[in-house]
Order: sequence, then structure tokens, then C-alpha cells
Amino acid sequence: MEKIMKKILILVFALYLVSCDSFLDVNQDPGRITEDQVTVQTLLPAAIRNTASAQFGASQYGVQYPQYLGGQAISQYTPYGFDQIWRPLYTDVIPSLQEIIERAEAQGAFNYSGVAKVLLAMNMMTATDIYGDVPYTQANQGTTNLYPCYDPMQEMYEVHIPNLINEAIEELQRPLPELPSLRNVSNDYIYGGNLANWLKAAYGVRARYHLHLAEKNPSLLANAVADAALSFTSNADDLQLTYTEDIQNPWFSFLGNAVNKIMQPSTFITNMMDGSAQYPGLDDPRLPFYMNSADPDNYIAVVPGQLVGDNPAVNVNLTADTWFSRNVAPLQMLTFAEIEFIKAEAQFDSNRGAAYDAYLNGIRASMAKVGVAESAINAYLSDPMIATGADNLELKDIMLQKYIALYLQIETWTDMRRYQYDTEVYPGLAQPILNQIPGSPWIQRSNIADDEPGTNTCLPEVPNQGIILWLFNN
Amino acid sequence: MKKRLSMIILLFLGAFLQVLAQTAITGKVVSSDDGEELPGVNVVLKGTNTVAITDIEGNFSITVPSSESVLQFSYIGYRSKEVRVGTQTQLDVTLEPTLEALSEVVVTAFGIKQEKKSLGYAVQDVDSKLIMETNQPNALNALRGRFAGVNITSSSGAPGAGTNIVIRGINSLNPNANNQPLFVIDGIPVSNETDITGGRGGSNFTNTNRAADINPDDIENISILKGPAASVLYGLRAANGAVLITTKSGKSGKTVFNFRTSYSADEVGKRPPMQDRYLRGFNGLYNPNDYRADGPPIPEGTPIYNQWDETFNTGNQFQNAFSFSGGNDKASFFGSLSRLDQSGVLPNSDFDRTTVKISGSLKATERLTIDGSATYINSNGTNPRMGVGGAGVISYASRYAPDVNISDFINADGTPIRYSTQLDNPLYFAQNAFQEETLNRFLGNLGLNYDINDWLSVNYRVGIDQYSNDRFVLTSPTTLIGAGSNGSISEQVIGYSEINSNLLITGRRQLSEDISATITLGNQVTTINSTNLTGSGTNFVIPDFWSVNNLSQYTARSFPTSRSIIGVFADAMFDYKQTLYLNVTGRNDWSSTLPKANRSFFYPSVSMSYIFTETFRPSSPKILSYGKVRASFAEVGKDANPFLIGNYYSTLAPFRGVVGVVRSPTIGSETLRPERTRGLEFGMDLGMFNNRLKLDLTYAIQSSVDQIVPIPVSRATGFTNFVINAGEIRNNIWELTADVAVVRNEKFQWNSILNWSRLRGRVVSLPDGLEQIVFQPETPWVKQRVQVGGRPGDWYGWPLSRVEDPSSPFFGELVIVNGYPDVNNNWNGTPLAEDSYIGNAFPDWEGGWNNSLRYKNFEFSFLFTFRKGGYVFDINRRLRYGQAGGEAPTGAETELRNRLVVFNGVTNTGSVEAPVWEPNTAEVPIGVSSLYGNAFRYRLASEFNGFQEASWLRLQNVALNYSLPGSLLSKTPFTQITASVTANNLWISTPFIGFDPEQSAYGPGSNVFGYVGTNVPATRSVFFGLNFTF
Repeated sequence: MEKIMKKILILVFALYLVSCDSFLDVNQDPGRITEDQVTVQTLLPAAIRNTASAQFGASQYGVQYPQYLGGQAISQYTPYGFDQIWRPLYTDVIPSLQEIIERAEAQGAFNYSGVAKVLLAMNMMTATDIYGDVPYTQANQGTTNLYPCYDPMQEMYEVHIPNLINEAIEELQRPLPELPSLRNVSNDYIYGGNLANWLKAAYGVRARYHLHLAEKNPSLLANAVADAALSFTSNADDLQLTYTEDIQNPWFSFLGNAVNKIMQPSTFITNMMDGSAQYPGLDDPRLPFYMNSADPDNYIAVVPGQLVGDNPAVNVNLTADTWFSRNVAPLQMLTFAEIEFIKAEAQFDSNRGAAYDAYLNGIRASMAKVGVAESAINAYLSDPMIATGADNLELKDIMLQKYIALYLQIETWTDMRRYQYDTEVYPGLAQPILNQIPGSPWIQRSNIADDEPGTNTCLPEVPNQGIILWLFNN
Repeated sequence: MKKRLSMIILLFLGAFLQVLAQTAITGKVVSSDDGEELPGVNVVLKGTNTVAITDIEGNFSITVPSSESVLQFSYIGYRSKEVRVGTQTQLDVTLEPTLEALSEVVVTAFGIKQEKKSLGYAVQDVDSKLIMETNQPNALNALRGRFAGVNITSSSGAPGAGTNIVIRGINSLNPNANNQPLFVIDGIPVSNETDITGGRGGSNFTNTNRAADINPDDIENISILKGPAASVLYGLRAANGAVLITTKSGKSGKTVFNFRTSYSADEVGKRPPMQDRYLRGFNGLYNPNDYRADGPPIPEGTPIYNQWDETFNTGNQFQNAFSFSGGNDKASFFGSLSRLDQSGVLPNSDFDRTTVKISGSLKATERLTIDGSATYINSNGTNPRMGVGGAGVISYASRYAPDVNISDFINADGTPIRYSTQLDNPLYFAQNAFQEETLNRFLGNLGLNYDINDWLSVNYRVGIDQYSNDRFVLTSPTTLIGAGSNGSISEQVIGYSEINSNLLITGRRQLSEDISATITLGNQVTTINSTNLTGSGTNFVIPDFWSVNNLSQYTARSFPTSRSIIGVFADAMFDYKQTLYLNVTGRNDWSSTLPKANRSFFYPSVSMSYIFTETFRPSSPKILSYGKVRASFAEVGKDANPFLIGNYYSTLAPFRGVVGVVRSPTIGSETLRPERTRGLEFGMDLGMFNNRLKLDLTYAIQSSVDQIVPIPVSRATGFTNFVINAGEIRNNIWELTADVAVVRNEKFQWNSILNWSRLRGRVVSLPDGLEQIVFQPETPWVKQRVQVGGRPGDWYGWPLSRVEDPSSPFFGELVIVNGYPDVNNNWNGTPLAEDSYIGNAFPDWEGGWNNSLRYKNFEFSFLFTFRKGGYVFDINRRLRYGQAGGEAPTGAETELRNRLVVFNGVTNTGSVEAPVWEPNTAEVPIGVSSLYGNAFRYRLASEFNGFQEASWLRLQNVALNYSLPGSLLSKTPFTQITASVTANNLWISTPFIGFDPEQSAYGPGSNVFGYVGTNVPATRSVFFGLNFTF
């Protein structure tokens, strides 16, 4: 008995060690996929969605600076690092887009790489306009570079963004790849794989770029006009992501459908549209599409610098029914209206007539987009304050109308800073009633992203958010 | 590896094999005090290596060469005895128990009972009685104040809330790491996971830690192995220490039935004051829709509500436990059934638990014993959402205006009544944002013990722990936080399965007359698989249909994990004349979670215990009756979590019929090595005045090196976290236990035990290039920062500025700028971004003082727990200050509201470089808007942000028991009836303003301590109980 027991014991012990290695080889997550299972076709839809998230993130709180909305402490210029764009941009958008570019170029799928470069150029331009210096050439290098240094804004503008967008334009016109599975850009939420539309978008991004850089080199205005001419020709071309009832526009859940509205439209946009400020007596038919008022005859908005609740009389809000914050609303990134206003602004000095036509086209496009009736559009466009005629057209007319057309887009903040909040260009624009930056300057830039100090040792100095960025410092 | 191991076993078996055949002596060993049979008594043939061990009935048989042979009987806790065999072949021996201090027996690794005096490290235990006395449904809460060096924090007063246990300090740099010890029941590890809803690092619900599932009535004893020396045999999972639970088992003899019932009333004891003087509004103007209390003073005669009174109810616990046990010389059994029904102090909060346990053991042959047990646990609980952020019952209640009746919260059409779009009614919110949980758990184990011969035995045990935890989290679209997404629901099914197999071969030999050795070889195989399937989504189709089937947008996600560990170990214990003990262990683990090249790792331990009073007999044994010194060194390796190595891609929820993939933001090093915890421990045990005073002093240094930490990296790298080996934390621990028999006579006994410990953690190093790890979920103004030279739990923030020049006559005075106090030395240009150290979350020292008194049939005990120091950040206080407008009795803001005041302090009339201080004379207005609105920086001062010291002295537990005298019971079927009154958390003294500061906003399973104020506060409970034995 004892001997048998001993033998059994040893046998059991030995048996149970046989399967040792396979027993331990269980460290592979069955719930996620690995690098070799990833394709450009599965990366692209995520990259597009995350681009929209990043662009929304830039606007989410940031549109208090161009005074579309107000009510948060950020509107009083308390430190803000634009984390809502920083986070999706650097951990989702750039990695996805760069991986598409790398994989597509290796397979000769320049249709995919072209699309990815359009999006990357646009995102990097948004980022550098917000932060100034941004990590780019050292970004997304994983563990090989844990402390990515920042590329100066000047290099972003003079080297990296033009490279990306020029390559995009070139690659989108190359022959399609051989491989049948790659010939069609699939899972493209924006243009359904239509490369002609992507090419227009590419020219549109370059038009925006040339307009920005014309701050430094006015001769680039001509390039902006030329690019704009090759860009969008109707609202149907807009670079935007349209949401669904299931996956809703982020403005919908953030403000539209929320009961607790943490931000509300500001007096600058509201009064511009309700006929009480820049356009006395002229009711903008877009106003009810832009915001809802408890009293449709009287729109009372948040004074920039006021917090939500400070003035109990405020009665305007974004709701689930207002156009931009509906669940199925598109998130607009680059629109036909903007292209028209780029034409108008860029030709204001060189060709006033063309500028005037583009100005009117931009207004019409903007109104049509949100569904203003044709008759109302015509009535608005024939009002003497709008129909100034080419000779009487002023820069402020273009910029105010662009301001209205680009509602809730962070691009407007760049416009305002290009003109350094000039009240000649933006009549009636005033600083928030409370300004937390020492010396009370206009807000010029983002703070360093909140996550960065403590994790990155290669940071630029940002003394405060009142320091003018390279692009706007002329 | 396979070969090497088999060889070791063969050698081990071979070396000791002998055949003996001489005259057989049989006999029985019993105890002198109660005549009980003593199992496991060592019977040694003097001068030889022949040993026998008594069986469960105290029987032994041994072969002796002649009648002159002498047998030595030794047994832990008893005086050794030598008996000459003579002519007898039947030898019955009676052993006398020794003095208590010498005989204490504790459970160490794998359920092995060892004499405390032989251990080279500190072990403390508590028995069933102390656990039962507290009536705590979560047995861990019964351990508070009973162990030196063990910090036990209940995460909240909610029914079923988890409890955090930290032994000898935080040893991970990772704020989201689990620092919990390993839990072992009857030698088999079980899960003490806290599967936090929504993942680690921020919790809206205080989820249960799984050790709380155990029926406290089933527990016989809990012993805590604190340092790595004690826990090394349990391997990598015990790197944070081990909590060993021994459950009750059957004893031979008459079948005993026991029934215990108790009923409690639970109330929120300590509450923060609420402002009750001002109406809703802003800037002194009344606005019935404003969420702030900055309106005009409340007019005389207006009904005022204390919202805490309105929000909190009296909770109840109804506990019933029934058990039976018995057996004969061949078999014994134990069975129990328990039920707990609890309703919480908040609406929509309850918990129930039912447990069934059966266990038994059978002596199949003379040498083979089989035992097994099976436990089934079912629990159900509901708790409203609390929330670290602003959306929770407590935080809403704390901000609700005093003139609003919160009980009136629903309109006739079912819609909620709320006065502001920023505040939900707390009572309505509790009903419409909550979590419902169901747990079904099965624990089972089966053991075989086979005595190969007199000195060699094999023990094999296999245990399983399997549970399924279903969670339903609802946020109704009618709540403020649910409105944006039109309601959200998540249904989560967590499955956990752990199988452990332990094999132990133990040989015990007398090597010479003075030296005996016990050698154990062991193998442990563990496999843990968990599943987590979550269906969640938003957008209700039918407003009041609470099911994921009602969502227009939902996703299903699956998060499986699996982990396998193999360990082999050897433990050698040498005993020299019961005076000097040496214990050497070694263990090698293979873990599946590490890269193949690094997955095998070895770690050793050595410990010594020397009873010096055996060598140097004290001249006055009455003063120093017993003395022991001990020392140990040990190391434990620790693996990573599953699936950390390398990088993966995750799929996004489908959008317009398409699924996209994104790279996971965490990347793990391919060269990850095991983390190491090292401990060096010295201690001294003294018994004085005939052992009426027992002192136990321990000093330990414990460090965790090569930590596996997901270090936060710049997002510009494309990732958020990089998992590497980096950093070291060192803890220095002093522990003192004093046990005094104050009065010790037949009629009256009074025993008093004091536990005290002081712990200092230090961050020795951080990953290269990383300067600090910041935990800052709440505000930019108060944060926890881990940095080299600092301690875990260091708080940083912006304190009020004071004159720091000691030579100035104004040294220490507040610095006033523009009439308001300045913060963080901002007056001299210190940027606000440079935070200052403002305190540490861990106490300077803490402990417990327990007294048990017995007079005739009365037993009375009381336990004080205390802690000195330790700062907490009361999230709720920040909300009360910022929005409700200050607290009534203490908030100067409310007292002085709308008046002009002059702050006591000084202003600088000189330059920044050469300040000239003058007393402040500037009058400034005080009020929510003027103070908090305009004095932006003053508002951010840590002193006004809910940052406070949380020292306390607490009457943790008081229990009074009365047993009916035997004379009254003789005619009843009962052998014992006991009635009891117990109170928990009866009284607290603390400078802290707010709820009871014992709380943990982030719950068990998180390394973040010191955030309080958002959860259900700790309750004060009074129990009435009856216990029947028959």
C-alpha cells in the first residue's frame, strides 16, 4: 500500500509538470487584436471619427474665446490647456493617420495615404494654431522617445504642414493601386471613397493654410484664392462627419440634450444676429437654428466672463432641436461657406468685385446649410446692411459674416487672432468682464496641455496665455 | 525543470526511508486541564531519531528497543515530559499546559499551526469571539484596531461596501495598483478582488471586496502575516502580506447546534454643519433657480430643513446564523446557514447575503485523512450613485437649499421637481441613478492527508473559487446627468474562476538529541480566469423601461483575462532545544504574465528566533519571565497583470455599420522583470510579571523595488502609459503590542491589549526621467504627488501664504494682498503652478486599545481606535464652501456674510525682495460672490478647500454579553444562552469637520487614500443579539 502510494504520488507530480509550458502560455489577450491583424481599411474609419472628436474637442470649451459661447471659468481666461483636443489628437488621431500613411505607402495605396494626409494636415494646423509649438517630428515614437520635443510653430507652418498637404494633393491624383481590395477607399464616412471630393478638401485645407500664412507673407493671398477655386463648389462638398441617432453628434449630449447647460450662447453672437448690435434691426433668419430662446422675441445671452447662472435673465441655449446640437447634426470641419469667405477675404484688396460675390455666396451657403428658406435668404441678402455693393464692402462685413457662418468652429479664434481682436474688423467685440491673466491681455493661445508637465521633460515655456503666437505676431 | 524537480523529490524520499521492526508501544496523550486528547504530539525515543506523532484522538504507537527506553513527549503549548517505558506496552500520558505566553499557537502558511515562540517574524491573530462581537457583516471591519501595522479602511457606510486593508504601507507607485494582501481560507487562496464598476481609479459605487462574502460566523480564526518573511511560502500573490482565515470545523462528541440572531439600528453619526441662513441666489439677490446659496438672508418664519435629516434614514441589519457540528472518532462535520438583511441609511440602498457551508473530515484509514468543504454564497445589493464628481446623492444633498423640502421631489405626472438645472433632488436621484448587484459564489476544497510513516506525510489540497457577479447600473434619462445622453444603462457580468492545487510533503525528524528538523517541500499551481462582459449604451426608447433592450445605442464589450502560476518551494525549520529556531525557505515561481525569458524567478527567506530566557535564566523570573529576540530577511517576487506586455488594438463601437480599430494607449515593455518586495524585520517578545504583561516590539524595513508600473507618459509619444520596471518605495515600520492581564482571578478578569504602529514610506527612486507621478482627479488645487524623497500620499496644493522670515516680528502671520489672504506665496511671484507640500494622507501613527472584562456571567469589552495625523481632502466640503456658501457654525463666510471685514494679517508695503510688513487694514466684503468670485486665489487655498487633518479617537466597538447561568438551563434543551448588546462606531473625537473621516472615495483596490466626503458616511450601529447553543 505505502509503496503504491509513493509511486502514484511521484507519477502525479511528474504528469502535472509535463504541460508546464502550455499552461503558462496564456498571456495573449483574446479581447483585442494585434498589429498584424490591422489594415488601412479598419484604421481609416476610426481615424475619421477621432478626427471629428479632436475637432469637436478643440471647440468644446475653446469657442468661449471667440465668444460663441460663455459661462465657464475658461471664458474668464483661467488657465486652460485644451485637453479635449490634445488627448484624442496625440493618442488616437496622429497614431492612426500616420499608421495609415505608412501602411498605404508600403502597399502603393496612395489613395489611402492621400486621404490620411489631408486629415493630418488639417489636424496639425488646428493644433499649432491653438498651441503654437507642438510635438510633431518627435511625436508618436512610442517608447523610443518618451520625451518628445516640440516643433516651433514657424517650422510647422513653413515645413511640415505644407509638406503634408502638398503630398496629399499629389498622391490623391496618382493612379489607383493594383490590388483590387485597395482600389476603393472603403469605410470612408465623409466622402464614401470619392477621391475627387478629397482632392477638393485638400485644396480647401491648403487655401486655409495660405490664408493663415499670408499674415507673414501677403503674397500668399493669391495662392489662397487659387486653392479655393479648386476646392468646394457647394455645401454638398463639405468636410464634415454626420452623426446618427445611435451615435450622436457630441454637441448633442454635451449641451443640446443636457438639462444642465454648462455653457450658453454669448452676447456677441446673439446680439449680432438678433438685430441689436452690428446689424441694427436686422433679424438673422439663422438665429432660431443657432439657439433657442425661452422668449423668441427677446434673446438674452451670457456676457463674456459671466458664469452660467450669474444672470438669471439669460434665456438662450443650445438644445436638442437647434441645428448644430441635434443628435444627427454634422460636425463641420471645413465648409463651402468658409472657402467662399477665404476667397472674399483674400481678394478684398486685389479684386473687390470677386470678393463681394464670394461674400454673398458664403452667406447664402451658410443659410442654406441650416435650412433657411430661399425667400428669407433673399430678403436677408437684399438688406442694405448686407448688400453693401462691392464698392462699399468692408473687411468687417466679410469677417462678421464668416464669424456667423463658422458658428462653433475653432477656426474663428484663429481669424480673430490674425486680426488681433481688432474692433475695426469685429465691431463690438469686448474683453470678458473678468480677466484672470495678469495685465488683462486678450487670450492668445492655449496653456501647455495639463498632462504634459510631469510627464514630458522637453517642454517649451508658456508664461501665460496672453503671449502672442509666432503666426500672429507681426 | 521537470527533471530537476522529480530528482529532488526522489532524493528527499530516499534519504529518509527506513524500515523499523521492534517492540511496539501504544498509548494515548491527554491534556491535564480538561482531559482532552491531544493530536500531533511529538513522541521521540530519547537519544534516537525515532519519532511518532499522535493521531486525532491522541493515540500513538512507537517501537522501542528495550524497557529502559525513554520516550519524550512534546507538544506546543504544553510542558514536555519524559517517561521510561518499563514493562508497559500501553502508555497513557498526561501533559500539562504551559503559561500562556509560551504556548500561543498561530496559523502560518498552508494552515500549519506553529508555536509563536518559534517564529522569526511577527504574526498576529484574532479569534472567532472577537469577530462575532462586532456583528460586522464584512469580517474585515471587525479587524480594525486589532492588528499593529495593518490599516483597515471601510470605503463607506453603504450596505455591502468594500473595505480596504493595507499591511505595512503602500508599496506601489501606481495610484491604480491593488495593494491588497492575499486572502487564504483553510490553506487555499481565494479572491479578494474589488471589481470596480467602470474600472479602477474613480468609482461611483463602493463595490464590495470579495473577502466580505465570507460569513463571519464561519470563521474560527484570522491571522495576518505582515511581512514577506511570513508570506513567502504563498508566493508572489502574497507580496503585500496575507490574511489567513481558518474556518470552524466539526469536533468529535455530541452534536452541537448554535443559533445566533441580531438586529441593529444604524445611523449616520457625524455630519457636517449646513448653512441655514441664506436663500438661493447670487450676489445677495434671490433667484429661486440658482444653485448657489448666495441670496439674501432667509426671512424670519421660513421653514428650514436640515437636508442631512431629510436624506438619511435609520438603517437596519438583521443577521441570523445557524450552525451545527459534531462527529465521532472516524468522522466529523460542520454545517452552517446564514442570512443577512440590511437596509442602508440612504433611500434605495440595501444588501442581503445568504451563505451555506458544509465541511467534514473522514479518517479513511489509520494513515489517510480526507476532508473537504463547500460554501455557497448569494448576495444582492442596491446602492445609489455616489460619485467622486459632483453627481451623487451626498454632493447634491450638501448643496440643496435649506428652505427647500427635498421630500417633495416628484410631480403628479412623475417628473422630478428640482429648482436648479445644476442640482438633482438627492432623493429622486437615489431612485433613478443606482447600481444593482447580484453575486453567486462557490468555494470548495478537498484535501487528502497521508502519513507515509511516522515522520513523513503528504498533504494534497485542491480548491476552487468561482463567482459570477452581475451588475446593473442605471442612469435614468430624467436625471440631470442622464439627460444629455437620454439615459444610460450598463449590464455587466463578471465571472471569476480560480483553481489552486497545493502539494506538501512534510518530514519531521529528530536530528540529534537537541536538534529537530521539519522540512516541507511543496508545489502550488494556480490558474485564474476572469471574464467581464458588458452591454452598455444610451438613448432610452421607452422612458421608464429599465433594460439594455430599451436602448437605441449600445455596445457589447468583453474583457477576459487569464493567469497561471506555478510555484515550488522548500521550507526547513530547525529547532535547537526549543530555544533557538532557524527557518530557511526558498521558492521559485513561474508566472504566465511575464515575458517568457523572465517568467521564472526565485526568492529566499531566512528567519531566526532565540528565546534568551531559556539560556540566561533571569534571576527574578517573576519580573522577566520570558524573552525572545527574532530577526528575518525575506524577498518575494511579484508578477504583472495579465496582458500587459506589448501593444494591442481595440475596436470601436460600430458607427454607421462600420467598426474601426485604434491602438491601445498602453504599451508594456517586452523585457518586464518580476517586481521584488524585500523585508528585513527585527523583533522582541517579552513576558513580564509572570507573563501578566506581554510586550511585542517589531521594527521592519520593507522595500519594493523594480516595480511594475504603468508610468504616465506624454501623450505626444502616442501613448498614455508605458509599463516598465521602475522605482522603489521603502517603508519603515514600528509596531508595538502590549497585552496586560490587569486583573486575573476566578471571578473577575480584565485583559487589555494595546496595538500601536508608526509607518513611514519613502519614495527612493522613480523611473528615469520621471519627476513625479500626479494623482489629481478633482481640482488643480489639491493633488497627490509621488516624487523622490517624498512619501506615498503626499498632498500638494496652495496653502495660505504666511510670513516665513523668522526674524520678522510678523513671522507666521497671514500675508494679505488687496485685502484678501494670498496663497502659495503668490505675493512674491511664486507661480501658482509650483505647488507646495501641504501634508500627507497617511497618519503619523495609529492603533487600537481593546479591553475585555469578565465578571461571573457578564462579559464586557470595549475597543478604542486612534490615529494621529493624516490629512484628507473632503470633496464634499469643497462643494459646500463653493456653492452652498459656507457652513453654519464654523464658516466665517456665513457669520460675516455681506459685511466688511479686515483680515488679520500683514501686507507688504516694501518690495518683493525686501518686504516691509504692515498690519492689514483693508476692509473687504465677505460673501460667496465677493470672496469666492473675486478673491480667486483665496478660494483655492487648501485650508478652504476641504483639506483637513483627520486625527481621531474613536470608540470602535462596545459589547456586553450576558450568559444565562447553567442552573437556569438545566431543565431546557439549551446548553448556553447568551444575550448581547453591541455598538459599533459609537463615539468619535476629531478636529475634522465633516462626515466621519474614515472613508475612501476610490474604494478598495485602489492605492489612492485620503479623498473623502462623497460616499455614504460611516454609520453608528447598535445591535441586540441572542445566541443559543444546544
